[in-house]
Amino acid sequence: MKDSFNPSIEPPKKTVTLVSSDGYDFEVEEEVALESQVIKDGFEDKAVDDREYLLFNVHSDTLELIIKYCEKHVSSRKSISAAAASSSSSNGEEALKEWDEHFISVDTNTLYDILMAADYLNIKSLLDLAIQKVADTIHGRSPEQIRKKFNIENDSIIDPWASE
Amino acid sequence: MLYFNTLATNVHSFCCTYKKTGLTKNKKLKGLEMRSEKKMQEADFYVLPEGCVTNILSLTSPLDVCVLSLVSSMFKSAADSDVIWEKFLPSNYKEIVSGSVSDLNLNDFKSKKELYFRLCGDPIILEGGTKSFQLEKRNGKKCFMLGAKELGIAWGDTPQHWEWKSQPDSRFAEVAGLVCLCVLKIDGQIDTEMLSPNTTYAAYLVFKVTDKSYGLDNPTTEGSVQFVRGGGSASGYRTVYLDPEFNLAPHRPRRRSSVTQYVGQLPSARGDRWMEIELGEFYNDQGEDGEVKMTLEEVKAGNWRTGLIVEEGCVTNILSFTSPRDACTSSLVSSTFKSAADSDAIWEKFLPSDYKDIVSRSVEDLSTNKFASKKELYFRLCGDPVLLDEGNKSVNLDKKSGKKCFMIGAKELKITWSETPQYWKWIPLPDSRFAEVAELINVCYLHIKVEIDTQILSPTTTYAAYLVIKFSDQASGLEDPPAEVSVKFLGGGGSASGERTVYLDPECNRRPHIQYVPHRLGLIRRRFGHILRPGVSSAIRYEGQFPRERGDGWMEIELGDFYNGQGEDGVVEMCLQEVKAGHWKCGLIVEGIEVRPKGIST
Repeated sequence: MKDSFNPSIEPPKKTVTLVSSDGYDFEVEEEVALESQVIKDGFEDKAVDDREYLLFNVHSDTLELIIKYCEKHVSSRKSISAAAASSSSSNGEEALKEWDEHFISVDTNTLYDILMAADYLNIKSLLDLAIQKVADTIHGRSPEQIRKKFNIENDSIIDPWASE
Repeated sequence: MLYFNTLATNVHSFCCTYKKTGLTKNKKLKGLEMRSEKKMQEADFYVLPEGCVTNILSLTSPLDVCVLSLVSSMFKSAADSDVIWEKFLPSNYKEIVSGSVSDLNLNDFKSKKELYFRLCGDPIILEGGTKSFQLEKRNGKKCFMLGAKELGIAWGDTPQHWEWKSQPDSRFAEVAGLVCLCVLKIDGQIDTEMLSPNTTYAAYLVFKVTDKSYGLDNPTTEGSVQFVRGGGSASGYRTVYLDPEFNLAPHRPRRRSSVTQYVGQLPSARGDRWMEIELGEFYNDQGEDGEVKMTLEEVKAGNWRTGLIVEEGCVTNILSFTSPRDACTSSLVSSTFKSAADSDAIWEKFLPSDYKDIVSRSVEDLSTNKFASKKELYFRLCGDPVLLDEGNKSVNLDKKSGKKCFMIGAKELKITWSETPQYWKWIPLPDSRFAEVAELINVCYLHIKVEIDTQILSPTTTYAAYLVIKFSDQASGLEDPPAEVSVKFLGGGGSASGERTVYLDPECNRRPHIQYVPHRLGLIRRRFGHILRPGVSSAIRYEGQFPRERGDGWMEIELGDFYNGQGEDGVVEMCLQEVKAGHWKCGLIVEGIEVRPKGIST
């Protein structure tokens, strides 16, 4: 780890700069950024030097979480495939699932931000995770509880009492 | 805030390479079109990408989707879409519809939702009229019924033993009537491939008993559910009681205390003028376990019997995850299963996580060495309520789910004036679990309150709170005007039912509601119209507004309900009060406030 400060040992990893909607820079490894399908598509089109992505819809607080998620997934994927290659038993996938579960246990506002960002950046696994979480939250609740939980205004014309 | 060191050599160490110094989040200053610097405070689920809404909905259940369509117009338009409802339909719905004898055409349905609800409605008749199919409305799982013609009935084709006749209230053309026979054996088979995957199904025999029946309640009648070629897990043999007098005298005392009773061992009414009895249950994984055979048989006693009419054998599903009841069922399957299902590791999981704390606080000695196994302890906790602390609180578990139910005794409630003997009296009652209960002598200001920390309750559960009461003979002034009840989280978080009104009417179980309520409301409006809030309209009246018999000699009235997530929502306050009218009230006896998962009866 300390070695990372000595560039002579290994060539520096390629990095990409992500800029949040409120103007903060995040410098991340290329493979971490490529978790996003949108960045991946853009990356293939663009010239090599242009490594800056302006993410107009993602606030820095959310971007921080998204990067944390992508990093974790890139690293666990590597360790899982390494374990598979050496045919040693590993519970990496389960551990990752648990980590995901913990990661997505956030308050409603953050969950919403993550969902919107995952949709915007097109990170499928994260989007699925967030969507499942919303679905779980909805399950078994009444319309009024759902509105309260998700801060949704009641604009439907139907009177819920009448239709029950 | 965060800064990623570009020189990290490998991803494993990556998480250590950014610094949380608070200064390194680089501000971009080169003429970016800045969005608002301040983050939006409230998430607005009102605008979600359409694809997300569809995905969210298809991950819930049909019931949830119907609920969501009431939430807002965004959800409503998504909740009607074909994409979602097609997912809820069984994968082979086209085949099922085309195999139907009923006049059903896929093109007649304007939407998949319409089709879904048609399939949930009247059963559709399949394959020459001997089978019927239906979807379970709440979760879209498949239910089948095999007509009597499809079943193997011993001696079924001998007219002096069984006769085939048509019944107007049967979905099938012909049902089988038992004339007279000493061997009763009925079986049916169904291929699990036809059924919904990942589902626990139960098999029921649907029947009727005629007036002239006899010999049917023989206790050696056996129901069984088994896989034909081993495989799969099914409940095996169990004893059932085809008791013809069950529907005539449901409360008649029975003599079979020694046998463990299952739900479904006795016939129950189906609501379509037939009765059903559960033969057993089985788990259908992916439908690759082959055929399931369901049998009802009584061949040992050899006495003659008559008067049974068999309509059909029916397979419906129970939606369940592994629960204590499942463990009991699987312990019946085989001996290997049994030892696993009895193991402490499994039963410890069903015990509440803080069961050691409960045991140590119990008034009765429940120390673990008194119980041979965790299973035994589990069933003790499901049995009679366990008194805690000074005996003013009790806890027990719901047998099916293992969730905690609490009752806070009157001593622990905050009852205004309860210390003053001319207003409230403390009396011992033999049928109370607590040493003393509170009797209301006379007050104007009736106010009963309790606070519960949701941490002590089972997580992810909707709880309902009930005031457990009795009325003495002198009860008066209680039912009108209605009392106000409320259930709310202190501090505002969480979701709870809030405020309602209830009628503490001692007479309610003797007077029919329908006649009583309008008259009562009229009286209230005339006499107390000035203090009634405008919200009390007929639209929000519901069953729980009146006291209900608990079956233990007490009555209960619902104060409201709340959802306990992970117990992080803090303290719930439950309250009943009538302080506005200012007249004298007497004759209420309060045992306590019970908090139990909603939908469970006492």
